Amino acid sequence: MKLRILAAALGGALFFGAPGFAAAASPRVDLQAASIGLYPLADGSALLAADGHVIVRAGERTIAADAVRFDLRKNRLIASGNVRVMRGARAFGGAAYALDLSSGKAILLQLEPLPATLNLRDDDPATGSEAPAPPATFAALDLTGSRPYMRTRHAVVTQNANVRLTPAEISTGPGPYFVTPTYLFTFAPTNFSQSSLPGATFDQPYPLFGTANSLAAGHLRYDSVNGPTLAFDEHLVQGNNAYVVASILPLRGKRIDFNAFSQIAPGVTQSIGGFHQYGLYYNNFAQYNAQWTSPSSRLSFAAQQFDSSNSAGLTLSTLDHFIAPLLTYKLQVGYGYDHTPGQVPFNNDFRITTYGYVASPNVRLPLGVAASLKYEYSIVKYDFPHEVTSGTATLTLSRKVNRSLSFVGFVSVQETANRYRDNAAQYLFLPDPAFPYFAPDGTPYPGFFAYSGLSTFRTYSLQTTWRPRGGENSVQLYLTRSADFPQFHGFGRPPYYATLDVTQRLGNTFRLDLARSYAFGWSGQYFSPQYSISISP
Amino acid sequence: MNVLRAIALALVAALGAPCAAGAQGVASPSPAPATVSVVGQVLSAGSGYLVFTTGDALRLDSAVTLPKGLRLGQTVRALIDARSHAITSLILEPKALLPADIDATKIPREFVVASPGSTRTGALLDSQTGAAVHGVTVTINVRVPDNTPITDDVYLATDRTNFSPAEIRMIRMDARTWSVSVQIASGTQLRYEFTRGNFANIERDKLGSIVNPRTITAADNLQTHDAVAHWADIN
Repeated sequence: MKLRILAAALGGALFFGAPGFAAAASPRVDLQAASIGLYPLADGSALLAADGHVIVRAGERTIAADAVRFDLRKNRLIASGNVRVMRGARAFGGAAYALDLSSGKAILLQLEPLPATLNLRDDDPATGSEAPAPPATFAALDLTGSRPYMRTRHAVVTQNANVRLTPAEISTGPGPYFVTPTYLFTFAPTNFSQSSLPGATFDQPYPLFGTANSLAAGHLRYDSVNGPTLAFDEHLVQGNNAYVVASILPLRGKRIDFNAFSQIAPGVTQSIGGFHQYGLYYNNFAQYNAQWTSPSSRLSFAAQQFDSSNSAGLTLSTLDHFIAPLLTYKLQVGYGYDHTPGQVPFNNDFRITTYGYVASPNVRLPLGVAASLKYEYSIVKYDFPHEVTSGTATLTLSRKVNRSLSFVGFVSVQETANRYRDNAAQYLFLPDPAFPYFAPDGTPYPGFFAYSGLSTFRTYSLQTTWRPRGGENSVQLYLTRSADFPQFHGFGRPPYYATLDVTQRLGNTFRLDLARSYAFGWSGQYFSPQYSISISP
Repeated sequence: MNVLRAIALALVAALGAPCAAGAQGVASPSPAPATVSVVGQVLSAGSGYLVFTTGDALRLDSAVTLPKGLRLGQTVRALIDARSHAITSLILEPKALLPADIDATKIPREFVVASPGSTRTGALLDSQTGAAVHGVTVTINVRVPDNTPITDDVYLATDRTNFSPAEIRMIRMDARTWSVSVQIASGTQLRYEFTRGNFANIERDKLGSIVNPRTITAADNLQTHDAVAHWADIN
């Protein structure tokens, strides 16, 4: 099965045109100095500020100066103070030197023997022309009083991609610097935001290797299921048009994930993804999806395999259409195929799906209450005379009392009919009277015998949020009441559920989200407490 | 030019020419200032010159000792002798601008020894984790599509965790609006997007394409009002 996953990933790489991701080796610039600071700046640029006996090596060029400022995004540097530039057999000096590494153009400010500004070609003062420098050529930020995000004495810049600091001292906010042997800081304007890692509330990436369109990173993670763990991932990105991401959690929650996407044309996209889970659980999943979206509708094809079951389907749907000021609606039809080994009476079946919803906008009611209503309905008809219909009505009410206190509540009622047409095999859904169902405490559950394929799921939920002055810290109380039929003999949804969630910032580095939940009258217990801890930056 | 005019007037007054009428009750012009104060950022200093980041080089008086710790980009107040046109004194990081201070972009040209025609850097920017940087609370609000499942939570994924899809659970404000406040350092650039807790249900744009993360620069009481056009897993 691992081979299948690897083959799928390889196929994906080929499918997405892996050669397109291959980055040409970017030229590198080596900086050494008594101190080098990395400043990610408010305007989105990143700056390396090197001071004291600075030596810069960029290709054939070596620059010595008292200070250098290297704007990483603009790929330009300024050297000042006792500047000495050496390139091949040529060497010259000046008070300041500005170099655009992308174009190779340089400007030298000489004060001796006479003050002059020279525009250089190939770093040759003999052929340089004396002319005013363009505006802001020597512009430099005043960094007095600022703390660099990272510090080092040696930095290697891969132009337009990243900078490796060796060793690296990383700022932890106002506190002391954290020292690592090396750190790769990525400043490429590439969108590395896609991920294949499962969600985690805390994820500190540690970039290992990278180019302008690839990034390999280690991750120190925390999630409430696996606790603290390590992960690794690799991104290959081509602008906003395509990416391939693969990741592995080798220790806790062992799994391998991959995820790839490509935009073939505006509105036409395809994606593949999947995971291989091993260790405590063993599962494999893979899916492929292709979509064509027009200004008013979407046609999509989806195929997926989970272990030995698979399914595929074609769906045509409208986009969300808003009929001002009344409602939003959407309609959808689809045709699909399911293969489920062991499914009675057949392993294979075809289905026609119809779905639609209407939703009202938020309506202002007295006492500052806002209300909205949504109704969804779906019908799935299978070839074997069997159909599932489901209708769900949801009413949401909200009230913001003041900047700190707010309430949101909703009532949702879902009616589901799961039936065989013409009573063909309805018995498949009905409980066997020879084997009565018992709750975990031994109580027989008579209501289940009334089940005839018609279910009702009612949810009443109230969320109270106290967020002092609208700030980051908050206290939330969730109360949920479920009234379902049939209530699956103690293993369905708990009839009462309460969660208290407290979010508190701990210093500048961490934010703690601590939740404690109680399920009342469920699974034969009066209540069953659960903790949830989330740590995020 | 004002300085030249002042010098000329002073010369005329000294020669006792028609302006002697001033003695008959007309106020005499104020004498030219002995020093001119210029505030700017240092590009380079040494070899008898100080160069501002504008590229303008001024001569340093031989008696001037360069302050210790003078750094590239640092702001200084240079006092220039109006007669010799040489800098006679340098003050590092002046606390505030004085009425007499001239910005380095407007140095009287007669004082400038070399002029590459450059301009001065704009206002100083906050840099991340700088000493002057302070924590600010940014509130991010988002409207989600109507077909978002009512029982699902919406999460904020930011570049601080390399866009982990379940980084911060947001707070539901009404049927479609979610909100969260985050404290970050002022001036920090935050890139973020929205998910429902997993990469498979990340947001997409209206045409189903990847969403470029939204970018904000943290400032006091900044509020955003974003909208998710489409979820990756819901047709």
